[in-house]
Amino acid sequence: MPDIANTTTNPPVASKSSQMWKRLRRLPITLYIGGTLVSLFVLVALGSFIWTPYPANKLNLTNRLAPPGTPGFLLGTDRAGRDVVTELMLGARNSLYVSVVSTIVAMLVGATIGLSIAGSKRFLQGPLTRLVDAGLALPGILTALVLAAKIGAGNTTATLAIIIWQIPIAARVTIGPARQILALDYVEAAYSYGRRKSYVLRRHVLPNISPLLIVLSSIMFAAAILIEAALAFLSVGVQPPTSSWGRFLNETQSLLEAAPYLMFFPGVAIVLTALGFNLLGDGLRTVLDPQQARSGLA
Amino acid sequence: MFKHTLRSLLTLAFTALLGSIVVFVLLRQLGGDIVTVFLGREAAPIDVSYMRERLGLDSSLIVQYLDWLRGILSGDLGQSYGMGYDIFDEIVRRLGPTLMLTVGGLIVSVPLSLVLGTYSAINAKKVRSSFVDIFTQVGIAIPAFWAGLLLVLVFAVRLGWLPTGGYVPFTEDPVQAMRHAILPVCALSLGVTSVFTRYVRTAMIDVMNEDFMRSAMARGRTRRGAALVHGVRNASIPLVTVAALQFGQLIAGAVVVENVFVLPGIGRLIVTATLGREVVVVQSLALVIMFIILILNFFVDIAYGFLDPRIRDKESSNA
Amino acid sequence: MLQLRDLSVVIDEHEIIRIDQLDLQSGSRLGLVGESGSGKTMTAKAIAGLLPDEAKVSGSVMFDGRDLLELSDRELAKVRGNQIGFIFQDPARSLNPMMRIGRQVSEAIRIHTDLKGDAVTEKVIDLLRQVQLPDPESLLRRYPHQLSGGQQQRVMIAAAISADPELLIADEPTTALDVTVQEEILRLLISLSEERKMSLLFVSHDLGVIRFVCDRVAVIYGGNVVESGRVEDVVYRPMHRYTAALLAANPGMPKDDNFSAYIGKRLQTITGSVPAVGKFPSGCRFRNRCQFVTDACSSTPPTVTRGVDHRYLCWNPADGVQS
Repeated sequence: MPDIANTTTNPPVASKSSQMWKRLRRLPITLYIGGTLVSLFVLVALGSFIWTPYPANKLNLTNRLAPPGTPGFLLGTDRAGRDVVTELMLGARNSLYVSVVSTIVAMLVGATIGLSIAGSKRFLQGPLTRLVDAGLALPGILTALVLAAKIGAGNTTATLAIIIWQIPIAARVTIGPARQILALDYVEAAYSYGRRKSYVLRRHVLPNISPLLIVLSSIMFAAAILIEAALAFLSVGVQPPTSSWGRFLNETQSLLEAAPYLMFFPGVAIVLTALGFNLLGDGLRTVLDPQQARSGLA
Repeated sequence: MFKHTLRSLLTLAFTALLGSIVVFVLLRQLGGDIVTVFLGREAAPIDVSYMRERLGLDSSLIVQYLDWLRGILSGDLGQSYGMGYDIFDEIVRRLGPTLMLTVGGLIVSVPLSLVLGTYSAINAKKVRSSFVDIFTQVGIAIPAFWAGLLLVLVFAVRLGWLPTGGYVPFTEDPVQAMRHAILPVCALSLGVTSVFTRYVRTAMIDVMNEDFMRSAMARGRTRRGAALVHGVRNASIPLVTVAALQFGQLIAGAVVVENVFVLPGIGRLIVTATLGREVVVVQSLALVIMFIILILNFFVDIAYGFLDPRIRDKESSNA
Repeated sequence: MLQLRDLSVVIDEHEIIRIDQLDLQSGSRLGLVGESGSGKTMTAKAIAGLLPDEAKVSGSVMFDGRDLLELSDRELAKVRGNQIGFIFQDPARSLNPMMRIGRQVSEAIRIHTDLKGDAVTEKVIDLLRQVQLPDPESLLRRYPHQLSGGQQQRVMIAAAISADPELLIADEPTTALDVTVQEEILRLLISLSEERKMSLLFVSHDLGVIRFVCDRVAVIYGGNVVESGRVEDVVYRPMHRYTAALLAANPGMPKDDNFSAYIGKRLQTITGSVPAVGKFPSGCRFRNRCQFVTDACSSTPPTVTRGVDHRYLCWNPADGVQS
């Protein structure tokens, strides 16, 4: 097969703006859908600091379980008479908080571990990688339960558990590509200038694998949001009075007969947000790492 | 082959031991004394000393650990301090629903994802494969507990076809057992199937690009024929490796689903114990779950050796 | 039996292959020679529809009175392995590592014939014997990685001829093998072709190998057949400047069947490299690397026929001078 990607025909003469259009149009659709959903989520989450229809936990005891469309309550109220829109906005805030903190910390720690393993002595790499693999097998929810038993349920427990769960993931994804780049000629050449391993890892390997890490972060965000919701659902995560989509869902469980529509709101919010981050990751992979994406598509 | 098995066994033993130490030390050392955790800071001193004695907390940490380890091996994990049940018996009693869920989940999701993933890989460049992609993307984004609630709402509350929850042992009433199992297994399988379908798809696409697929087509196989005869066989190798990672997710899903459908399994037990701050119970349960995952991984490791003739040969020639 | 007319392969709006005429007579052995990137492998694949979907193939490939390009995927699959067999460059990668030898050799038999059970096994054992592999009975149950590269290629050959094809397409079948094994495999291919009256389309970058195996040769450059004819005509009296340059780059070429004297000498290359797809000059595609370029070369050269079927496309023919 000839190298199709590297051939260039004489480009048609076109204005700059139409060229930009073309480039934008060539971006994968997943990037647009994912980007839109994620921006919406972030906007709502951050917007909740500025404005919500009602203050947090404002109870409207006369208006409990108001159906959607009730004047003043676009999506109705929950069992305690809290405005659903307000609850959802505050839930987005908690989702964003937990997922940002956990993903950033886990990515930093995990990538560092991964890079260190890739740069470690050859005979150490096998056992260390196996250890990371063992960590991968542990489900995040289990970690959270164990933590919650000891230090108590709450946002911190949830965040900590997600971090512990995601560190091996970030490490594992880093090891392989980092090792490949370390084996490249020009990287080997850097040693001959007397560069130290840590310098090579930081200046040569890290920039090369950063697209991969960005893609992974997006997918880790989605996973963090799902686990945060699951933990809140199990009452192991965030505690009242802080709003959370997962806890909201838990409360609707007993209302399946009385107000079945209620369970849709937090559920749809979780699905769209997780879907958004996953699609964004997929789209970013196509843009940032075309080679890998193409091999995945071809 | 023997050497491969032996090494897998050693890995199993080593990670199990390491895992048990980590779980034990974390739970004993992190965030204060377990008696204070359970009884609260204002507990009467007599209660505290009584509980310490019951739990054997006065001996050194190493002795405590060895006692605990011996307990696991001999089937004596002590009693729940809060609820009074025998921990080991309780775990055995609650294995049923969890096994039903996880095994049922595997039975549903593995064949389904093989079919979907292969279909999507064969038609990778065609529009019809994107339906599978959309299904998997949405399936991954739907949390098992919401899927469970949706299923309950539609099939139990609205249509009344199936029970909203609860557990009937298979030995008691097979028909009722099946009826009770359908919704939880479906809720659990959705996510697992989606993730696994994507793995199958990737593995199949990789295999489809191999030279020997071209050879098969050169011998007169159609693309689909080559994929089914050669592809599935060869894709099973990378799949077996990622399958191991899925066991953890499967059990995590089971914990959540048990709580949606009120199934008296391990998952519900560990959540109840967690909320009751019974560190000793959670510690033992976490270890049991970890052991289950590790043992499943061990079997996968063995299967891996059996599947790939290259590994089989390499090991036997070394041994 | 095989006639290519106006064969064109277009990928991403680039015409990668353009062959006006190329014929292979029944029972004859045609060599397709060119540097890597010349399009020789792609031509071989285009014949049997083994190109990826994004390649648009047009023109006609007549085989036994049928145009292969007109056939559906399913009909084409019935031709492949049955009437046209294939062997590829890298036997280690071309055999399925997880399937026993027996099943891979018998694959075409099971697809294309009604033979069943022991009859298939017997035929496979016979085939393995024909490709001179030792102990065929035990070989059936072995896996590819347990064989050497030469043995693997023999297995590939056995699998390719198992349904008694009329044409065998061999794409660089010895390039990945040890020098010592190469000659054995080439001799095997020649004798199989003679015994079975099987035509051979032999793709190689090595004119010496083609000289050894084939009776006719087509030199391919930039997706065009620039010169074709009987091997002795082309080798002893090259007309196209590209053929002449190829020959000049390989002075050790055997004049007779003494192949061993030649093999092992590494191939020299022509100065400059094959341009990337879409970067070929207009007119004669070789003109940017040709030392004998003339003004006329910027327009498409005519097809000149000389003697018996010796065709070439060159404005300033070499007329037998290797340079």
